[in-house]
Amino acid sequence: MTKLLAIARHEITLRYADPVILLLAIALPLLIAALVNLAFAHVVLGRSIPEAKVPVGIVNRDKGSQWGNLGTLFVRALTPEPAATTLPANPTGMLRDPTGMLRNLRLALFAVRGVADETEARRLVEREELVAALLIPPNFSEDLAMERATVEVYFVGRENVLGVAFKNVVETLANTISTVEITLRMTVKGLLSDPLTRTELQTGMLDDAIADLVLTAALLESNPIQIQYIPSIVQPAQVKLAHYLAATIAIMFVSFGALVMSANLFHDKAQWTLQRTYISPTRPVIILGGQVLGIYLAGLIQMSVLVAGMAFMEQALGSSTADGIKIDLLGLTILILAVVAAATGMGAAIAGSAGTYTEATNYGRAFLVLMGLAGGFFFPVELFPQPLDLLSRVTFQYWAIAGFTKLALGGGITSILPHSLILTAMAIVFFAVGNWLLRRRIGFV
Amino acid sequence: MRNVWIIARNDLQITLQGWQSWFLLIGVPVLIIYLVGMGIQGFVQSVSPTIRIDILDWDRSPASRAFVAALADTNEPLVLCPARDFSQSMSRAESREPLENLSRAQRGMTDDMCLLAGAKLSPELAQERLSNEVTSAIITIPKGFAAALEKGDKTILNFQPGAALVAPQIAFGATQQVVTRMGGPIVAARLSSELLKARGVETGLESYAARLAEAKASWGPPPPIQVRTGVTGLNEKLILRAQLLKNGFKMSAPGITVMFVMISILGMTASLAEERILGILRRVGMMPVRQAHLLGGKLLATFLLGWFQFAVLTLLGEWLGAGLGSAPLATMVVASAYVLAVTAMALALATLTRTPSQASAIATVAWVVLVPLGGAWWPLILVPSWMRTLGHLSPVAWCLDALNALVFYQGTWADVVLPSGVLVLFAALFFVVGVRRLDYHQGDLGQSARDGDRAEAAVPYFGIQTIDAE
Repeated sequence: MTKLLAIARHEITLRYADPVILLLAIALPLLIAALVNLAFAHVVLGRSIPEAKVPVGIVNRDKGSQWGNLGTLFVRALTPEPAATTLPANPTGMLRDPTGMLRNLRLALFAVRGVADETEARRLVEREELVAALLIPPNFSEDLAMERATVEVYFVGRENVLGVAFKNVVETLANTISTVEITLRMTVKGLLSDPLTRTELQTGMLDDAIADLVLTAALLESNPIQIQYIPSIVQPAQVKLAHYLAATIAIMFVSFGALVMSANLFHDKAQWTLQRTYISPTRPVIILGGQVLGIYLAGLIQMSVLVAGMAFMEQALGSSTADGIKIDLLGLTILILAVVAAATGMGAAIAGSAGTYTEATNYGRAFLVLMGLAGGFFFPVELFPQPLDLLSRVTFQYWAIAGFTKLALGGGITSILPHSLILTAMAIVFFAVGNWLLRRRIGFV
Repeated sequence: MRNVWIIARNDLQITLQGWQSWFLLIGVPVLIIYLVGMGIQGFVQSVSPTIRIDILDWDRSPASRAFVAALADTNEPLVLCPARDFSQSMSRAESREPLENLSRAQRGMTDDMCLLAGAKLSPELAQERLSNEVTSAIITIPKGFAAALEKGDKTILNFQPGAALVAPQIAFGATQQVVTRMGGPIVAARLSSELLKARGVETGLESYAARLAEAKASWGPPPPIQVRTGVTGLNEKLILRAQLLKNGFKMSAPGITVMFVMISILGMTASLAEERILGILRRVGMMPVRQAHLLGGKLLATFLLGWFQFAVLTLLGEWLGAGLGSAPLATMVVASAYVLAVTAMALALATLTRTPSQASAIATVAWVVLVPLGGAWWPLILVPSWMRTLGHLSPVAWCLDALNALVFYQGTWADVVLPSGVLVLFAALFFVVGVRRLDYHQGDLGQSARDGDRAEAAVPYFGIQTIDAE
């Protein structure tokens, strides 16, 4: 047992003392995971639209009219903290404080920013730095005073779902302002038709009543159709694409590591290291067992460092690890033990099937990548047509990814127990085959 | 030149001997192109932006149907379920428009995009669909909806969003738009009528009716504030999605080809180091062969190998319908420029290393970083703009810019000129760096072997320097 552990420890030391191996086994997968995270931080598996705020811009070139700068109404409603607290008051004080307007409008979806000029806004949209821009023309208030005005929502591509969604919000604001405008116009027209109220209007006696009318018309609560927003109770857990890919990257690199370490037996044989240990008073099964144990433990170290590193990196990049879902650490540990065992066994089996170190590493890597793709690396297997999706079940990568996905969805030990058992069974088969082949290849009898 | 060709041919023969080499050069990329292509197509199909909204219409009145019809028109991806009910109300609302005249949302509702599989939509089923994210929101139109609107009374529409952040908000924004549009004239008529009644200007029930008619007339069309849509150009993401829905190989074929060509060519760095360690280059260097010929032969072999692999994989992609065949000459130019750039890069990287394991490591790091950064694993239009800019430090990005222009956007020669030019610049830069470093080593050798005749024939990086040191 002491010899077995000594050989295993030696294997681990050899592996992690080499800076090149550290670079390839640890730094490289973390780097790829970082790239994936930066590229797809907001993409959630199964959801068609990235779960992120939509950047939009607003350009208010409105010069105003005797009723004030009505373009500012859009700015105030769309931006969370308007620069000014009140609008320029009109001569009759009709629009004194329309801040209550659209206060129920849900704008959580959009990150609105003011843009200085129209050319810049169009350029930002064309460069896709903004999804859309609201362009309010200089004569907006004047035109509205003359009953008809136009604003423009500028975005790229006609079928742009997010651009059209922003247009819907602008239309909601436009409808509300239109409601105010029509209410005011009809009321003033009616008041002017009566000699008494005409005089009251001209002397300013009705200013307060009309101001109240404007405010009431601007409130969404005045609408006969009230929308009761019922918050969703059920918040099902989701797996981010970046998390999914991070798991596949970790599994892939651990498999590569196990394969290369197994293939190193050929190097050891070529350099006569193996023969020398063989003539020492140590049973071959201890030598091979120690090396395999070393490979397994090195794989465990690699997987643990990658999982921890990816979690740390994600926090450093500014997003939470699992969006509030607590990962079952015991379940994760059991799954990691099983995944690494299967990966190590597979590495031994592939190395045993090859004749030389080069064959084992080159074809083995290719084989692992292909198995990984079939097992769900990069794309969930459900997306493959039949029978490819069924074929994936024979790969250990499928069960490993499925297990990690279940844990990411909030599953516990019981949910990943079948995966762990299948992976362990696969590991036993792979180890048996690999052991038999390696013993034949490297000359142990 | 003959010597260069002999060395190149010899290298090619060694590289391509055995079925295993062919398997790695062609077989593996072909399998990966196929698997990734299938995966991409499935992925794009799974994320097509369809926003299903389950509508429980308890009123079933013309007003509720008008509400649904208006909602369907707000945003194209909205699919209102159950489809059968709303396609009927749609056909009434739209005066039996021909299918091609209907918006995509309305057309969608004529298909079974609701995933109800013939089931009747009940509140329980709607809740289940919401929990499973089959649908993004539930809108419940209450009984008496039309009657309330007619009288100007309030009516409550329930909106229950799903768990996602974006899709339910899009649905809610669309609902608010329709509500403010439908309710606007009623608000104006009611408030105006109330004030005028309070001031004794108007009396009786006719006042509200007259004001409502006036408000509806004022709403147009055109409405008091028109929101015009300014659409610029073509949305590259939408074009990409539409094409990938039909054929995932359009992305996998160019991306995986570019990746494997880079892997194969960068293999030269390790092979040079290995030949140096094994003393093969020393032996060749002692033959009457000039250094330039030896280097030229190696580079030519690498270039031809990369070009051959690019051509075969492109032809395969073409067979799978990737669409590079529309401009074969332009594709060849891009391929040549890319292979040249990567070959020169392999030379530059080779000068940075001493041992095969170092060379293999640096080559692996190079392709693992440059390939995804350059957009071979995912299209650069999907990543943030800063990452897109950073990605163009990789030759992969320029090559794929040109290939994607040809595959997805019916590009012409004009679209490949700039990327090809940049790739040639990459090649020139890497080549200069590589050769300069070789010259540097040669200088060392010249100094150490000042009196020796072998200096001219020696290629320091390839091992003579080590030999002299020994």
